[in-house]
Amino acid sequence: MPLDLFARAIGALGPFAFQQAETARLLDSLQAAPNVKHDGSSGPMPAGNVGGEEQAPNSERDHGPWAHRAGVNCLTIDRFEGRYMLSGGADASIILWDLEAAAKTTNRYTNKPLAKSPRSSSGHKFGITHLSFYPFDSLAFLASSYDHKLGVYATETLSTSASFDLGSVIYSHDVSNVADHLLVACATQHPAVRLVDLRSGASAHSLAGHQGAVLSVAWSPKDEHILASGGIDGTARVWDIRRSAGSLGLLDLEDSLGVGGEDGFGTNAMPRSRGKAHVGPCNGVVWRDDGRFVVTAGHDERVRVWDVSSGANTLSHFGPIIKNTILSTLLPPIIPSTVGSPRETFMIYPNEKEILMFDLHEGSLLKRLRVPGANVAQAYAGTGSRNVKTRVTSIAWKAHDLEMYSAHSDGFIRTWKPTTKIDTDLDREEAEGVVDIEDNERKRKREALDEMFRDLTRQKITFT
Amino acid sequence: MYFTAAWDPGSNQLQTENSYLDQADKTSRDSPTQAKCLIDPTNAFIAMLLYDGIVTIMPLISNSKKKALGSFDFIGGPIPTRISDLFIRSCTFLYPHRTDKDPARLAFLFEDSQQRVCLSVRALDYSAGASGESGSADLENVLAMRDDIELGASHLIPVPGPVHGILVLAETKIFYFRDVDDSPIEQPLQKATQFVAWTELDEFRWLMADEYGTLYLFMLLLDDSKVSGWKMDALGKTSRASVLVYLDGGHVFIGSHQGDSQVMRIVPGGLELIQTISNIAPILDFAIMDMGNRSAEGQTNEYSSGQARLVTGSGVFDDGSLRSVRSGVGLEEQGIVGDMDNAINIFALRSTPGSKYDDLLLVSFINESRAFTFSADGEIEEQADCLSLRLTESTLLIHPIDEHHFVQVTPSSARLVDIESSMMLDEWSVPTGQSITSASASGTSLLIAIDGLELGIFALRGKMTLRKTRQFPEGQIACVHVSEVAPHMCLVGFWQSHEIVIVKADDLTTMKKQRISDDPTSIPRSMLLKNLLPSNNATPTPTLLVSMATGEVVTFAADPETMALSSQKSTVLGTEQANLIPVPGREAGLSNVFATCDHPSLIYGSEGRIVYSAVTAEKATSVCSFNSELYPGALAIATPEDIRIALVDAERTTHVQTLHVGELVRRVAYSPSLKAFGIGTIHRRLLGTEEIVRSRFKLADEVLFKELDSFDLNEEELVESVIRAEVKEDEGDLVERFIVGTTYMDDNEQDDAIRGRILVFAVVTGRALRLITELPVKGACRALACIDGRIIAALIKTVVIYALNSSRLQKLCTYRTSTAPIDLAVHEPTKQIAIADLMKSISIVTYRPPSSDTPHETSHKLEETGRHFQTAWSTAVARVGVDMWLESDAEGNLIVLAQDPHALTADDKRRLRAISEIRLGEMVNRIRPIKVTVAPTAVVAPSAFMATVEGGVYLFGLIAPAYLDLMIRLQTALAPRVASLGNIPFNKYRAYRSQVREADEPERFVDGELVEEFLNLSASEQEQVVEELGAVAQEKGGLEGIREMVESLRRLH
Repeated sequence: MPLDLFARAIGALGPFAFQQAETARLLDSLQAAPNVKHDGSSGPMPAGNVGGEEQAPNSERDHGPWAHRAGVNCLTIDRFEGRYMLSGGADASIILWDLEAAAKTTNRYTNKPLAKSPRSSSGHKFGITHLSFYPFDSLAFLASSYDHKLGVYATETLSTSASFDLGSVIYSHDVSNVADHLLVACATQHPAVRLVDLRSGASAHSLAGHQGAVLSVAWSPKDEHILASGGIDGTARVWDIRRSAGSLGLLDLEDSLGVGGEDGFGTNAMPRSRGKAHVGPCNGVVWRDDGRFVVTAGHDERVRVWDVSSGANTLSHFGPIIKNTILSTLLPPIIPSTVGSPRETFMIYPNEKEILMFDLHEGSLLKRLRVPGANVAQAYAGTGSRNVKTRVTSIAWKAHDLEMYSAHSDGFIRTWKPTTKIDTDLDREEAEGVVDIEDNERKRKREALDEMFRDLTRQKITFT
Repeated sequence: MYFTAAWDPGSNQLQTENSYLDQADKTSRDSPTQAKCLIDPTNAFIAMLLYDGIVTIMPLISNSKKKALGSFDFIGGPIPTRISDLFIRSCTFLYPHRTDKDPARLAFLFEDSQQRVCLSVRALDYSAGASGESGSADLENVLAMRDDIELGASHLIPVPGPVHGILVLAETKIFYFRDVDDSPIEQPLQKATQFVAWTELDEFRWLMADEYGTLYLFMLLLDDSKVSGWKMDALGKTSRASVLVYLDGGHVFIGSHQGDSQVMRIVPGGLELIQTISNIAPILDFAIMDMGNRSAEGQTNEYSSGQARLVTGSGVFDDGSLRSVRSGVGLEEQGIVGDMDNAINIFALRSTPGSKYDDLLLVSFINESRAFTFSADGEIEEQADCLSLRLTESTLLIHPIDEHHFVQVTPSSARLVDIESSMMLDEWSVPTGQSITSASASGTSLLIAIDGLELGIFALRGKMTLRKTRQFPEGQIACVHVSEVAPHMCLVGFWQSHEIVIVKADDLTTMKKQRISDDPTSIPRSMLLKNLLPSNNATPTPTLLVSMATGEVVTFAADPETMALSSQKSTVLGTEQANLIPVPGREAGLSNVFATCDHPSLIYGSEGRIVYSAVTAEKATSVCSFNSELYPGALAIATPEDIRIALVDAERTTHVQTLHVGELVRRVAYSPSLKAFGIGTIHRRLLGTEEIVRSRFKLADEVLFKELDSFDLNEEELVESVIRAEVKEDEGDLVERFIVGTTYMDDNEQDDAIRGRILVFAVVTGRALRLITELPVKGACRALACIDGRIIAALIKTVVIYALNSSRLQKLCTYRTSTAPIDLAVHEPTKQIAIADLMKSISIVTYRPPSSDTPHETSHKLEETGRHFQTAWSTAVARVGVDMWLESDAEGNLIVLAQDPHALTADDKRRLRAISEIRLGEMVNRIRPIKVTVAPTAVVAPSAFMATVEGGVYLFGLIAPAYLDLMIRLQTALAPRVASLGNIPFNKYRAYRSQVREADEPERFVDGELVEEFLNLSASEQEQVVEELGAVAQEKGGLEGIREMVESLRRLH
């Protein structure tokens, strides 16, 4: 790095290249930060809801504080400041966290909720399935739940400002960050992708095509009218919402060439209307940030990467390590291209008990982060408790920082930060609490005493 | 973003041809290699490589059917085309083989995912669209491809007909491909190198430049019109080229970012330097040497950065140099009369009465005078006998009395000469054994001092009449002056007194005495009473300037009738006495004053005040106005070697003096008390094919930067920071030390090795360096600062405070930072330390030493008191106001962060908020705060200098709160009115932009350059602007008020 800094100062290395080199280094040292904890059991309550929360058995305290006792279903971090994080619990509670509070100190820190909306006041009856911030500022957010409702919330108070009942379980939703429209695409148990217009408050549109429930939807980061979805039928579809027919085509795992059309960009090409993306339900759809690739995850324990311009399967293969069995949405976040070497695109895959980091296009496993804790944990919902297999349910990448937060079904939110050798050294130094001066002074005194002792006890030998 | 511009020879201005078009695509990935723009040899297309995997094709469309080759009317709309080749290292259009029927071909040199280096040739398939529509283009058609190119390949050069083909430049070899599918002809280089630029001379020859500043001539050897091999010769050394342009006639332009740009001529056996275009980029560090107010007293002139002198460390490795940068009046030399050693005085005369031009130059030497005539056609002739001038001894004074007469004063005599007849009308000789030591004349009288003891005055009316002589009780006379402005009065200065005496011209009786300085050692050496400032009423107020032996110049406003002196101001010009010489001013009746001393200055009136401006006449001993026919308005300047005729620039511009160091100057620290610089340099040389990089710490004298002492750092060690600090040693008094922070280059974090050092140097007698102590540290020492006599070091992940006790650095306390600290800014009174972090903006920590108030607290503490939470890849930080910090980031933005101590919650108090932001467009390497006292009415208080990678030096100032609203409104009103090259909208260009966030316009940040453009608007536009401003402008005096305000801003630099 000293040479990089120097090259940047003389203008031989562009600031972005420098950033990439530096972030690549930090990314490489991403590790669990067990010192930062998220404690959802206390903290401010919305007025009128004091005491809406039961106390956890003390024995469980040993494992650390819970975020959502019933298990954390989803996480999201605002994309502007990277300051606020929302977590949604399996018990329909929503908590707002201030991540800066934790950033203030490098030491042990237990983050307390900035605001908390327990089940009784969240407006949702069942578990939260997906949370996302309003695309233009972080003052509002959207939450969907197993109780068929999509809610719009004010971030500061966590109060509902609007609620839409879609009549079926909403597995996930998405709002476009680049669009002028305010259409929320919802993946529901209903076979059509539902578009809810936040402006008019109407369920504006539905895109029919999937057979069976739609499990995941994602807007293109580049084109405001393009949408991708994955369904329980194993298909992944790309939609253009301006078209009456909607579907631009399906992604077919057998197709590694794609539809070229006349000019290779799909102009006047026949859309593909058959084929499956996964053998088994497809429960995760994510775009690469330049909108050129779509990544899908399916229950066939595969992750596939698709070239959107042609619809071709790029045949990236991530090996047998991938696990994917639960029907709820599983979104492997793709780290923004500003991070790390431009040669690589990183995908973070929540693989049940561990978090995997892959090179998206090569398929090579770059990092395997194990989640500490027992395999089976008890989740508390309502009054009873049940045993659940601990599993990573959601991962939120903190924009602009190299930090990652993971939600777990055992109720924890875990923090992952770059930790280099120097960090651990300093930690150890701090823990020892020995300051050089004291040490040295003590040593000098001891030596002086020793010398005195020697002088007193032994006869001085002098040579003449 | 692109635009096209053309040179308009009519107006000598660049003219925008096509307005800018933004090609930015936020969602596309930036090209991992540099953005490139290529033009097809048939001039049919432009290809731009801006983003990963996308080539943007722009057809050059010609309207006329019969298109001449190479002409086009406009650039068609951009068409993005996709290619699968990633990590393109080089790309070029190939020359068409036969006719223009062939599609254009592009060759790409790229790296594939296995990091093999590949070469591919693609055909550009372009079909023009229907009218009004853009055509379509694609590069799908891969004509040829191979993946076995040498790893070090870096450049592609297309070979034109009749030979055709591609040259591939690599680190150890050069390949020639007739056809990509064929096996290449390859030939190893004599010495491995890294090519950086090339230019085509003709079909067979190219010039190539490498990283080490060597220029090569490359020639293809042909055998039956087939390439059989080539020859490559090193021509010589140049600056490290960024671009080469062949200018024709053997001239080549070497454009350099890392050193001066050059124009070279290729001559047999080497290179000849024709022109150097100086370039101070990249500025790695700089020190402020003086602010033009070296006087000990706080009483200084109103700030004008024209006096500020910066010393920058510029250039890279072999092109590294120290440069002294100051803005001043430039002299454009017109001619030199050589072989004039040690001329001490110079005077101009007109040999024909009534002539408008000076044609005679009298040069006075120590024991003779020489006269030269200048004819209108530039002939210079020395005159042995001319105008009855006495040439056998030196001349003290020549003063034209009117169109027909002048006086000449030599040590032995004073004579009055009639020009027309060349007749001496009168002569007065000093009694033998005595001599005239100083003289001054006005139109009516001549004042002389004889042997420094006696003052005599002559009336000059056709003859010289000695009116009166007188001696003074004050002692020996040092200087005398009589002025046209107040001919009834004479001024006398003495060697033993710091007073001047004003006497009556008729009888030399003392009228009054004026104390000049409180310092008894400063004696007046030169006096001048002239009209410098225009006045509003009929009687102008002349200015009396007195230059002192100490280098100070004191000015008074004088009443010409009573000689009442008021408003005394003093300015230090240099370290030796300044000789004040009047030269004609820009307005009739007004004078400028040329002060010759070690820092020659031009003193002139501007907008109601006296401005001192540096002049680039470094060695001038004497100056006179020489308004000759050939050089109207010129000055004649005598230097120790020659006489120069020069024109004075109309405006102040930036002047750079270069001292070539030959090593990269990474850090500069200045010690005013030692009058020396501590500089950290990095030296690179080639040992065979291996680059050896060594760092040194040097002590250099402030004059000519002469090296006094040097200390070599270890191998693989890089100097990171150098400061001058006053350090408390053993809890005693503060002593001056240079502190150097270093880092080791190998980037292996795994072992526990030492990663850097902190070295403390003392400067001992004889101005030599002595290493007091060194401390190996685990992290690189990126920045150093000093607080309370303690050393603050920014190491990786920590900021540590050390005390220097018994020649050892002792750790007092530490603070953990989020990533790596990269710059420190300290404010002593509040004990605040701002830490700029590599990627997490800045945090403020307060240093709390143990104090007597809290006896139980015995340890030193660093406590975080403020933090800016956003991500910013900061590069430098400085304090610019109370709880106000200026931060620069790597993406070229400037942010002013402020802390609100009155916020309600503790959390809000700690939070730093961005209160102003702007995009500078250049990465700032260093910010140095400056302390300037400004008048309470000043619009802008200058508070920091910034230096950038691109070689820019910027002045940052805080706008007075009363003017803030007005200035921001003025900027908003001006933004659409000021046209820029390429019609780039101001707001968009200057708006904060980073990968995280993009703003629409600069926030509470005013671009001074734009505001000054107000003066260049037409009167009606100015009125419109003021009208638009409304009440805010009226408050400040309407149009006149605004104009005045903007003019005052212009004076800042």
